[in-house]
Amino acid sequence: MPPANKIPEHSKFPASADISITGKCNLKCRYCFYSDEMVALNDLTTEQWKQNIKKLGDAKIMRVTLTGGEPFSRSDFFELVDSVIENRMRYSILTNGTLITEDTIKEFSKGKRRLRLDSIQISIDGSCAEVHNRSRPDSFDRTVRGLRLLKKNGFPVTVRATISRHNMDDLEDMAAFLLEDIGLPSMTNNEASPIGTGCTYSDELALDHCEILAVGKRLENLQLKYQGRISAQAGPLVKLRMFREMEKSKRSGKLSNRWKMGYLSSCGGVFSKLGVLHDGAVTPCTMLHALTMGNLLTDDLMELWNNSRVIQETRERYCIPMSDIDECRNCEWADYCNGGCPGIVQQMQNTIIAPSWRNCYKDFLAANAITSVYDAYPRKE
Amino acid sequence: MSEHKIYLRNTDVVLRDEDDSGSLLYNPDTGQVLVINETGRFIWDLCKIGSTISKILEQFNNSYKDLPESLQEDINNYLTIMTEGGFLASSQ
Repeated sequence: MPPANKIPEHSKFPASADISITGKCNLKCRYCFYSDEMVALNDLTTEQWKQNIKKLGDAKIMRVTLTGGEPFSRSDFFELVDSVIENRMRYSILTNGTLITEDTIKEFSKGKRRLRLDSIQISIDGSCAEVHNRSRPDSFDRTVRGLRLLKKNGFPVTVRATISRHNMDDLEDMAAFLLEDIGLPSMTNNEASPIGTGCTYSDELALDHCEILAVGKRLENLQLKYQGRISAQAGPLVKLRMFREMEKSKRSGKLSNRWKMGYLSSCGGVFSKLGVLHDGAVTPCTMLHALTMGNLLTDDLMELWNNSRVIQETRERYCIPMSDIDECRNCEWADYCNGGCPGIVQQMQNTIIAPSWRNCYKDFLAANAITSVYDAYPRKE
Repeated sequence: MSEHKIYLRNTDVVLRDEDDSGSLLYNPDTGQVLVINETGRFIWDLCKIGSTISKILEQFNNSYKDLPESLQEDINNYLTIMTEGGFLASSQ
């Protein structure tokens, strides 16, 4: 087992926060991580949000990501953006893009709204309406209109494609559409996860281990074709990279420094960022929405950041050896694994002290009937 | 570098005292971060109400013993970096 280390120091102030400014959305996507019970929570008023944004600024947070729900569905959206600016922060936006019009573009030109904008990320899941609308019903044309408007006006727009069974056959066309036809400089992707609404449609959407391998290899080919323009922070590409790293470490006997191998260490976010839900609840991450630290309206943010039991436990996860987990104790990969996303684990098992089977290399090998991820690639002569 | 220039903080800049080893300045207009040591931190404090190089030097001499010979150069460097990064504004 790798040597135990103490829990890393968290930064004195959070560096960034993901804030869901609304639970409302004009779409009903099949894999949305906001489930119906989340949507039912009440949105805060404009004044309450302004009060909360001031608290984020007072905590010296540097960047916020405005998300939802659909952030542009709030009629006071730009009032909240101005509050972010007034409180000395930069911002990014995660959106479905359907509500972006010429008027939106004009609104962005006021004050420092453009200057302080880091990026706008639009979710697009297909090269055409038929594919995209399977996951994101009745939205393709409006989404692409929004994307083209932003691109035409020089906005820092990016696209995230969520890979699922709905669009796994469309990867090459999707990349060509986004990178060649639309002309985006780059795109990212992840995978549909059994979180929120995604739980309900998990069988219909979520990739199994064989599909992860097939999709991951095709994405790697696209990465070669589009040199540096396709990236991912989660999903098939990241999993294949992780599995190769585990193989490399096991064969060389040298632990990788890409993550803390052999511990539930997959998520380092809780050391520098946090989430705020649309009712003001503070969570270690918006993906961990069941773990509430307190409420920004009533609690002291720095007190929560430094002393909340919930975030401390999430940080302590980082130091729990995989070999302490019953189902992993005898696994030959336990010393190299990191347990996967705590958000998915929490949703599936109602605890964060567990591994995600969706990241299990042992299961991945068995499902694909191979003994190493390298077996999936043609050998060099 | 003019002796008469007055250096003043950009009020949008955020100071984060991270730990005992240093602080950082964050300019939200550019996203630029500047890590500063105790010297930089002292200069930042003095520029709250505006300060000239000679005033800054005088304050260092009043507040610290055994100042390094390179102090004037360190101060000049900080003022240049901070001004170029938009952390400070300067006027004659």
